[in-house]
Amino acid sequence: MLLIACPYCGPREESEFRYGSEGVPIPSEADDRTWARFLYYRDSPAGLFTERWVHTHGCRQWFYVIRDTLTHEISATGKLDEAPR
Amino acid sequence: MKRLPTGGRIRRDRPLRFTWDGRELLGFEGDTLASALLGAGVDVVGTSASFGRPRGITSAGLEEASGFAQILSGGASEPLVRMTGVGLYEGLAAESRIAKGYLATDMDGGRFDKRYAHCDVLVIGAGPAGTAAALVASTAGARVIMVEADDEVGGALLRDQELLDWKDQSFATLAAAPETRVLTSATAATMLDQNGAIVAQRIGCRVSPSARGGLCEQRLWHVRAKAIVLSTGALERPIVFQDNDRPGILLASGARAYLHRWALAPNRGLVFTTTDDGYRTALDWHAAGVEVAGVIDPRPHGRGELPQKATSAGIRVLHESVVETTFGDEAGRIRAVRVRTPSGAEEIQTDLLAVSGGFEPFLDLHLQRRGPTRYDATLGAPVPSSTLPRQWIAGAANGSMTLRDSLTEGARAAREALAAVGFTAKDWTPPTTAHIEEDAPSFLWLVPAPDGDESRSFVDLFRDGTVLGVERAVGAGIRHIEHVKRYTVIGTGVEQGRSAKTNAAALTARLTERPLATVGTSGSRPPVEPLSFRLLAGRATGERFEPVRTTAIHGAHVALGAVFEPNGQWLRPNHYPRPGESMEDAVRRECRAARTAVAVMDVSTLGKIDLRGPDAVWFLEQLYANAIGTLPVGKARYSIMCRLDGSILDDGVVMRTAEDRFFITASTGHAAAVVDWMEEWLQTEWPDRRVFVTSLTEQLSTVAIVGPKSREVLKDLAPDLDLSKEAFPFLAVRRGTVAGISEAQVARVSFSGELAFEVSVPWDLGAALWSSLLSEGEPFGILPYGLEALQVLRSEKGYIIVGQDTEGTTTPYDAGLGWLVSKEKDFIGKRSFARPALKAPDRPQLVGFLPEEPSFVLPEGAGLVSRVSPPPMEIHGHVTTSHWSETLGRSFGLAMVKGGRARHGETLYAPLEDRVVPVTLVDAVHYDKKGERRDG
Repeated sequence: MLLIACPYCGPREESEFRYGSEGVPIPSEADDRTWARFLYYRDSPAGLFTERWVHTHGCRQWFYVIRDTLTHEISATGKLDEAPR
Repeated sequence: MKRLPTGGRIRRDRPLRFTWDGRELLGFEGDTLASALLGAGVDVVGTSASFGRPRGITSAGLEEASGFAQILSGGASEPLVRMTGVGLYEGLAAESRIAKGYLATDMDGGRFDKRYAHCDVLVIGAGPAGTAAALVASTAGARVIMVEADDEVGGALLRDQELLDWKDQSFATLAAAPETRVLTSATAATMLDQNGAIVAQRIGCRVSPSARGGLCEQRLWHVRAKAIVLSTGALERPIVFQDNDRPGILLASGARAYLHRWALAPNRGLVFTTTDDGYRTALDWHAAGVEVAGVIDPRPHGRGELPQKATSAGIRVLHESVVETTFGDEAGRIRAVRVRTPSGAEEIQTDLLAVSGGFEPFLDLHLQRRGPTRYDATLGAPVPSSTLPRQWIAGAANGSMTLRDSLTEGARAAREALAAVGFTAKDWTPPTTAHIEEDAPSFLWLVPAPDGDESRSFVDLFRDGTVLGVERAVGAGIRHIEHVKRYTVIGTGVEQGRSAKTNAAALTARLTERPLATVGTSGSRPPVEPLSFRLLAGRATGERFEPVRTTAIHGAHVALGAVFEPNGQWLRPNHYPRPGESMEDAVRRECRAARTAVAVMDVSTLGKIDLRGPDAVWFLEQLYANAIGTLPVGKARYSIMCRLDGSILDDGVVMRTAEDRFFITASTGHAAAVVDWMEEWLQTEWPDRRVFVTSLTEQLSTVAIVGPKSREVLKDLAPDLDLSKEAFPFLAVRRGTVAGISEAQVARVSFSGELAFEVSVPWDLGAALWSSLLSEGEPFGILPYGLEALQVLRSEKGYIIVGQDTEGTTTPYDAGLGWLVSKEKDFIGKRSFARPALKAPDRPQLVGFLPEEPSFVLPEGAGLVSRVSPPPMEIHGHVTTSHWSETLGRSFGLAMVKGGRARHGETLYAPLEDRVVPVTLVDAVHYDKKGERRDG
């Protein structure tokens, strides 16, 4: 069970949150192949990963988390508009 | 073994009664189940799982390989409990079950609890290293939690009779520290990411039932620590030789623990050791007046201090000698051993053979999170090569086997941990210890069977894994240690082969002619010891398993005799049987009322959402597949929302209550998900859009009034509303006073296909509305109806339930809702409709069906085929909804069938277990196709 620091509420148990994947930008123009890749393919890097979580059973706010997919160590969390690009 | 007249750490003034296999026995406070049995003369505690060989206790701690029992007392029957790990209490009842326990059937017995705790430093293991670490951390002012699996703190100090005064003083200091908590009988079972730990503690079950009071039997701790010190100590390894599994063969450190902690000693003890430490057992027996038959040591000489002492004490020591086989009495207990000496063989009589194959760090908790290890040649076992973030390993767990090193390492670990979490350690001086120079151990691992029969040389007693098994594995070409484990099952018991792993690796190394360092050992998994389901469930059993939600009208449903059905967390009426009436008859009666007169349903569980803001129309246009902007104020529209891949997420009714304000309903099961979905888009994609989403589900009670007489029932209750067809047409939404409740919202929407109104009032007034409707409707024959009748009514009309008639890939086109999809605008999911896969003609599509046999109701989920043959048959679709229709006077249903819309009239077959049912595919709308009743 992870301890996740919600940028609005502070550190809370993982069970209060829902995972929201990495948040891929929606392509505005896409042929079928590109669109299908957008829908169904996701990167699964080993190491640092910027992803979105929502504090479902708390403030219901979405925010970003930088998590190491190998160790589950969370190095940063923050509000979406402050997310690293 | 026998109990000595004096000594030990037991309270002889507090005898305790317990039962073993139904026999009542006596032990003392301070006993474990294992020591109590040994003290009561029970040294055969069961028979082995595969070979049925008699087995006894093999250790005094975590190394235990065969002393496992079913504990019948303590709240709930618990299987596979390590007998060396359960403290005796008055009334303890246990059964001999070495490797095959059974699960409790009664979940209501006892109290099991959970706690969440946070600390700066978690110290796991209360031996010398852990005690030093806890002292240093505690005196620095840090919040400290220390957990110890044993009932008593002290670890190896207890069995070695060292620093006992220092230990007592230290724990008095810790007990007085306000931010320090020491948990005994508490096993750190599972290590989690980010320094989480799950600790299982036996609490109330250590206390006699009369003194237990409100204590829970067991407690599960979820501990989150900024820093963790692992001071889990070392395990002693056995040596593998023929018939090494007899009751009375124990690890040497365990034999010493039984002497010093529980005053248990043999009549004539014998030691077989590859280490100097084994000599301590012989010396301690000797000092306690126990006859020592000798020490068998494969090493050529005894240069260390302890062997020297043994010789001066007159203890017989046989060097360059090994135990090659053992002999038992009629019960299988050890009676004698045959020793191979440089000059030949000798038989030595003994009733307790103490064995020491060396010590190795107990690293299960480190290994659970894949902590790195390296092979240590001086120990012949893995030691930690580095630690996980914010963890420290100290003392014997780190491979430092002397008392002095344990103390200094424990203190050092605490100092480093404190620095990492922002505390400054105070100066601390370790207690003085006598340093004993020990000679290097030898690595014997295995004594070959004298007659070559390795089928009785046990590597893993729990699993009956033998040397022969490893030989067969290697003979079959297996080399990797994890494969050896699975082939031989060595290490797959609940104790994870703790005392077998390294010997199995050493044997594999020898047989495959590789260095042990390259073979490695098999991994460790959580939990370290079995956790009962009862403990994991904690208080969340029975009615506390999940919250139950009821509507404001629930009491009326109960009074009407409703049969309830869970719908998510909601409890909703399924039907309202009259006395003696069957469910079928009740449902038929309720359906008739809705179709021919009037019926009411409590639909308060519908998801209800208030959505408003300057960008509300823009946002809803994105969200819904159908047009929203064209919806006038005061009107409602059946609407459908899709995911990005074009599949249906949910359906519902969107009502426009003002230019920039909407009232939206979502299906009961998806209410929370729909609000989440809206918030996700607003927050992650369109944070600049000004829209507010508010859930009103628990704010409003809603009742549906359904049937041709519904207008008449409502008319007198809502005198200021013009309910006429012209003034209040289908899909109109009005506000007015209903049953004396002002500002009620009345919407002409219908999920039954009949003339219907949905009335929403403040939550608390729901019951008043309900009773007004029932009494006003009485002259019209009004009846309440439940979910079952709702299912029949809606499927007669071909109205889908998202998640029942659709699944995660169903699009609006598949569900026959293509007419709803806007061609004009863009919306979430639209791009996907252009994908070839979503345009394929053979996609499953919603159809209706009629079984050839009109009285037969097909089971939902039944597969449909076009040709019946021996399996496998090509499946063309499946039944999603199936009922008896009172209105049609026959069975009917809905199905998803490949290309189904073009197949109306075709006959398919539902092959069931005992019969084949032909069905005719028809339009999904079975009743009132033009919607005249609904619009009337």
